[in-house]
This record gives sequence, structure tokens and C-alpha cells, in this order.
Amino acid sequence: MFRQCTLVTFAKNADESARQALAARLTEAARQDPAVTHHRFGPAVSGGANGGDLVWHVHFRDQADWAASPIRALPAALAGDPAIDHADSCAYRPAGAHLREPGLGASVYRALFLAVKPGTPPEKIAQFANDTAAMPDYIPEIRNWALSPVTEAQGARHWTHVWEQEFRTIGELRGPYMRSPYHWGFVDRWFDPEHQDFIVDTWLCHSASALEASVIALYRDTVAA
Amino acid sequence: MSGGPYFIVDELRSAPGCADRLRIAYLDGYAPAARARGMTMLHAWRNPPLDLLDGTTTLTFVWSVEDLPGWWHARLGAAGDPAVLSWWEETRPLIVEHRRLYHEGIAA
Repeated sequence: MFRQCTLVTFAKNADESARQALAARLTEAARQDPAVTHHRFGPAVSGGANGGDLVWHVHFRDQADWAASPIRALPAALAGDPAIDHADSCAYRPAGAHLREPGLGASVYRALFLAVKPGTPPEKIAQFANDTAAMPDYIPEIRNWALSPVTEAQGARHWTHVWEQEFRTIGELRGPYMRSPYHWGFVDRWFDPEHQDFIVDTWLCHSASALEASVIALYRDTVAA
Repeated sequence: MSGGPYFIVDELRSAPGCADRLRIAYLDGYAPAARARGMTMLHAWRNPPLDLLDGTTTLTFVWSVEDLPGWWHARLGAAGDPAVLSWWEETRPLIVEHRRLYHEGIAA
């Protein structure tokens, strides 16, 4: 499967009817496209940083279907919509999804769009990815997760990776995840401009949104053994 | 894991003959903003225990923050402050190697 995840930030003067109208247009675009296998919205939970007001998940059978779809160009087109302040989007094949709770119901989906600095040696990127992907080994509250390289990015940065997790509650993200010494005392060094291992642009999209059911569970053909 | 304090250590190996300039730059140019972000300087050391005329000296600055919120405040405050990032860029010629380390106290 292949997916496009878009973080939509509404204009400050966009009222509720304008927001709903936009969501309706995006829903209709997904319904009209036979290549779309799944689509849903997730309203943002407060506390994100550059994470948008709405998360739009769209799935395709494969990259070829996505590449040919008019959905591909929609995030860039949103920039011209008066109801939109900006949008950031990543298109990617989820890599190595892990499911502790595939039946996760109402939950919090967290997406981190990040951009590794150009010129970073491949071995450093690999080490960063290994360290990040190991976070669930130390933080059992991460219920489902996937760290994926990005095929095509739109928005504020040339996003290179999407780090996705699902938690039962926002408290698990704000508490055990942020307080884990593995997070702040070890993985965070890749993001710290004062640290010698710094490789990730300080401009991130940190998004937390509500889900009625796991979206990572849909990455079933990419699930790690 | 303790609740704090946590320790932030900067080990700066100076370029030859630059130890004193680096020490002054760090104490006058970096430390005040770090204190404003809630960091407390505990120690300032140098090795070897003199400024070599043409060799390198390692300056070690040990800071503490009270707890994890304090750690995040100091960490994100620095990342979001262009003046902090400019300071590191401007002093780069004085520094051969920089290591930043984060520590937690353990029972001894």
C-alpha cells in the first residue's frame, strides 16, 4: 500500500462552515478516485507544533496508483484556498509497521514530519533511524508504530521521514513518551542543534490527532514479522 | 529514572592557543542566556590545568537543570533562539571538538 498524509492548517478567519466545506471537498475528491482504498480525517488534539488542525489520511494500492491520482496534487493546491493557511504533506510507502494493538479503537495518532539535513552521511541516517525505531522497546505506551522514508514531500520543508505512533490516550504521548529518558536523553540528540550528533532540521511538524480506530493497522502488507 | 536534577556538560577542545578566548566567549557570550533558560553552572574546568601556548585545551562546563520540564525548557529554548545558534557558529573557529553530554546522577 501507499499513502499520503496531509496536515491541514486552516486560516484564522476560516469559520466552521468553511472548514466543513473544505473537508467535504477533500472527501468528495477521495470518493471520486477509484484508486483510493481508504480515506479518513483526524481532528487535531491541542499541543502540537506546526501539526495542523486536521489530518487527512489517504491510502492507495501502490505508488503507481498514487502517482497517477489527482489526490497527489491536492496538498499543493490547498495553498490557494482562502480557508487554508498552509498544508504539509508526505507521500510514502509505510515501512516496517509494528502492531502491539492492531485492534486499537479510539486513540491518538501522532505523526512527526522531519527533514534530515542534506549531506548527512547514510550511516548517520541509518543510526538515527535505528535509534528512533527502537523507542517502543523503552516506551510500552507506543501501541503501534512505523518509521518511513518519504517519497514526495510538500510544505515547509523537504520532509525525509515520517515517524508515526498510536497511543491509547493523549496522556500517554504527553507523559510516558515525553518523559522517557530514552527519548530526551538519547534519541533527542539527533534533533538538538547544540549536540554533536544533530542531523534533523529544527523545523518539525508534530501532530497529534484523534482516531476512532488504528490507521497503522491498515499498513498490514508492510507489517514487520 | 530520578526526577532530577539532570546535568548538561559541554566539553570544548580549543583550537591551538585559543583556550582563553574560548573561555571568555563561553562565559560572557553563552552562559548568560543559558542561565536565563534556567540552567545553573556548577563547574568550569580545564585540562591540562594551564593554557598551552600552542596546544589544545579542553574546557568543561557542567550545568544542572532542576527537573525534566526544566530540561525541555532549556533544550527547546536554545533551539528556538537564533542568538544561541549564531554563537555556536561564530565560535566554531575556536573549537576543534565539542561534545555535549546529558547525565543523570546515580548512587555511588
